[in-house]
Amino acid sequence: MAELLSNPVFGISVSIAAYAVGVWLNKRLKTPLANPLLISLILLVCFFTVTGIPLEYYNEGGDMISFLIFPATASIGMSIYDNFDLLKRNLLPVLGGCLVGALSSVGSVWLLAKLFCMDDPILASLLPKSVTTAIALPLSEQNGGIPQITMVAVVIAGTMGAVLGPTLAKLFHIADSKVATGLAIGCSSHAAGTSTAVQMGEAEGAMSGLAIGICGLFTVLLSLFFKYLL
Amino acid sequence: MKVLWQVGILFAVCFLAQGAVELLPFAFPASVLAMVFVFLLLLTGILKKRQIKDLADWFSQNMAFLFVPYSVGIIQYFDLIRQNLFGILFISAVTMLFTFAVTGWAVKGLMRLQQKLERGHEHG
Repeated sequence: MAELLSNPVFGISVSIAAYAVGVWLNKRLKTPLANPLLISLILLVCFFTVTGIPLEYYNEGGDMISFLIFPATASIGMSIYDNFDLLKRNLLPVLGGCLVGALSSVGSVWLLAKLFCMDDPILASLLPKSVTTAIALPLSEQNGGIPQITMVAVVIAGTMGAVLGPTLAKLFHIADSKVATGLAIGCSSHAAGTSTAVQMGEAEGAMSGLAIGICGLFTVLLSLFFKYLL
Repeated sequence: MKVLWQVGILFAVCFLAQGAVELLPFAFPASVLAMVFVFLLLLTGILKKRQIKDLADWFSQNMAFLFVPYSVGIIQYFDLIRQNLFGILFISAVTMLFTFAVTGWAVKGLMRLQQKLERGHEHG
């Protein structure tokens, strides 16, 4: 049995099965709260706790999937290229907005974490939390954070933006500007929020998508100084 | 065959980024540098969009799935998360609202500035 379960096909197939259930439930329930990643995580955690199958067996296949995050992140470069005309036309608001977005996120996380007297590994895990998972994880790891805690924070920010994006835009009086709404959603809640921005309109969606890459890049540059913040 | 070429091209760019990162004097994620490389190669026309499009689209449609195995590792950190649960939830939520508001207001201000600059340009 051990030999069978430690074959990579086991980890890969249970991952796909759990994710398929997540996508199905997401379509059924029609709410961003039913996040497919979150659902598959809960299913798999229950599965491994109940069966007692060691995680090392699962990781034989899981690591192969995780490896693909590298080329997948590289391909985000194509979506920046796709939106490059839009970037050129709105150069000042996009670059300025994303810089402010990255600074305010990192700054507010740092301030609150210090107020809460959080330990350094937790602080390092939370600092990159408003950018897309693919960019947040290596930044967290690089500075001694725990990627899984980063994922929790990234998913919270993303889900909040996806659910509350339109409401927040009205609340903060930015709903009258599509560019401001799109960039605010993209900078605060990355790809998950972008899925909602796309539903709000083409301009909001494109701006939000652009913010994933640009705000991500600014956060990477800021992360070079994270070690002085810890 | 077409997809195989696309895998080859994208992985080669990743390999270059990995090599470049090791030469840098500071820590920088190779995947993010590879993202910048892909953007620059497309912009300069060295790489054509059709040479990576199918693969890049597939990745962006299935991005969330790739994080499933990583997320399962959370089992090992349950205790640590429980000890810091309130802080993690509170900070994640409050900073999200703050980032949203500040970014939105900054963009509105900058757009007014841009309009003013453009108008000044026309009249001047």
